[in-house]
Amino acid sequence: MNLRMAGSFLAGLIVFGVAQAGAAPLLKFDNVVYDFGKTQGISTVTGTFTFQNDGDAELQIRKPAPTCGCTVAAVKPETLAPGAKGELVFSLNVGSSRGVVQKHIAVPSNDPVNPTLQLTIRVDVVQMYEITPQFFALGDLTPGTTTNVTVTVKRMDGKPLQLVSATASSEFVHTKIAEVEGSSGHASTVNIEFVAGGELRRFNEQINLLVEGQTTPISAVNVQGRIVGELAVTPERLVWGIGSLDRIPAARLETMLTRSVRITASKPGESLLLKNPVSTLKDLNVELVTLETGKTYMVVAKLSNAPKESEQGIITIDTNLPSQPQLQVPVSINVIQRR
Amino acid sequence: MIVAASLLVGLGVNAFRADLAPSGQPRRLPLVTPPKADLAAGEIVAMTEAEQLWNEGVAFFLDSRTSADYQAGHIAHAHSLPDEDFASRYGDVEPLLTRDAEIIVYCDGVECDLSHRLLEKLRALGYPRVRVLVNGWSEWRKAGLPTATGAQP
Repeated sequence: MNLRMAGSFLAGLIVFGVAQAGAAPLLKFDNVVYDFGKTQGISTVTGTFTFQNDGDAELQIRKPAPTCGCTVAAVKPETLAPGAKGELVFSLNVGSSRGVVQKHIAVPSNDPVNPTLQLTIRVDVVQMYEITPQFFALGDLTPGTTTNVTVTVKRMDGKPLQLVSATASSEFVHTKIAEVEGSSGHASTVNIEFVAGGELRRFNEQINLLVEGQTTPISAVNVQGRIVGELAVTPERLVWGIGSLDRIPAARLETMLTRSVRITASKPGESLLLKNPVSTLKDLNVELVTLETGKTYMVVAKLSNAPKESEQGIITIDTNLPSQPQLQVPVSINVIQRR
Repeated sequence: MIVAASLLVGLGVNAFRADLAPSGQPRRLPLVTPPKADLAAGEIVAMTEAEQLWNEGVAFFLDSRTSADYQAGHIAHAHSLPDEDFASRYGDVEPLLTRDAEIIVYCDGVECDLSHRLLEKLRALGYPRVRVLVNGWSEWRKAGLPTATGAQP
């Protein structure tokens, strides 16, 4: 009897041992690649990966980790009994990408076979319209200057383009549409003329492109630059972003505390004279350096002490120009001390 | 003896399981290698250098993610220049930059290419000293470095 009981106990333990040795969760996705194929006219794709626990122990899935900030993924449920099914829902922002976009999502779990499983999302983004270029940086322009640039617009799905308008955001921009010869109506050019009129300013004009039968623009083209008058200031603002001063090597402290602004006469033949650089910030010393007499100057701004707090100020410089007797350079000091 | 027998049986079973390595440890299946970033060595800034430049305030950090992502959290002092809105937003940061400015662009994730695209655009506009901090937002947070939230100051 005792021997029989001992035998049964031994057999039970052996069976238990076998069961323990073999029991494991097994994460099995129906597909590990989600291929959207060609897509057009969308900026985000969403989809669902389905999976199940094919093992014989409880499966625990941890937070999925996309390899791109453009992807968001969530899994439900996070714990699955053997045989149970679940879903991983994702969305991928393809933005203005073109061509094949391929991203991955890592799925960590307690599956001993594959503790981190990789899923793949693939999209072939086809833009219906190809607009080149979409952005023009015209740089510094003097008042009255006229600048012409050309944009080419193509319809990529084989249908006629039918570009009916290119509407500008201001009176200083004029546009003209012309069909590209030999394109069978699939492509047009848009000539954009920018006249540097109005006040001295930084400008960013937008031209909206509209095709037949649609009320919203297919896209926009931006034309950007600044009208500088008789002098150009670069950069237009001085910004300090300061971290931990005690982590900066002494040899580099001078560089860190110093900034400079370049001021150049933009009107040919006119002699530019600058004087009296003044800062409204008491710890900011300013010095005027002549790089080319009558033409180019440098204002060197140096902090005498490392600032402890953020502050804003202005540097002013007197000029000999009747149209602009004084110029101002805003100063922004931003301090974030590391703990 | 009984326990030893159970262990032996268990080990025997494990030896025939295909999902376990001979050592008994789970086999680590190779991960899918992220696509090789199309960046030259000189176009990438290491985290240690980025941190140093940030401390000194001598580099401009540009966040190439969407405005919403920037507002949710960004590297302190960084300026927002979403790659998607580059044409309409470049004018916001241009007044701060000189052509020789040290610029560090970043986004989030090892496979995020927004910063790569922003680098190309800025270089095309004549800023040669642009570099990418790969997986910048995640790496910066992981390092416990200063962050901020909200819209551009």
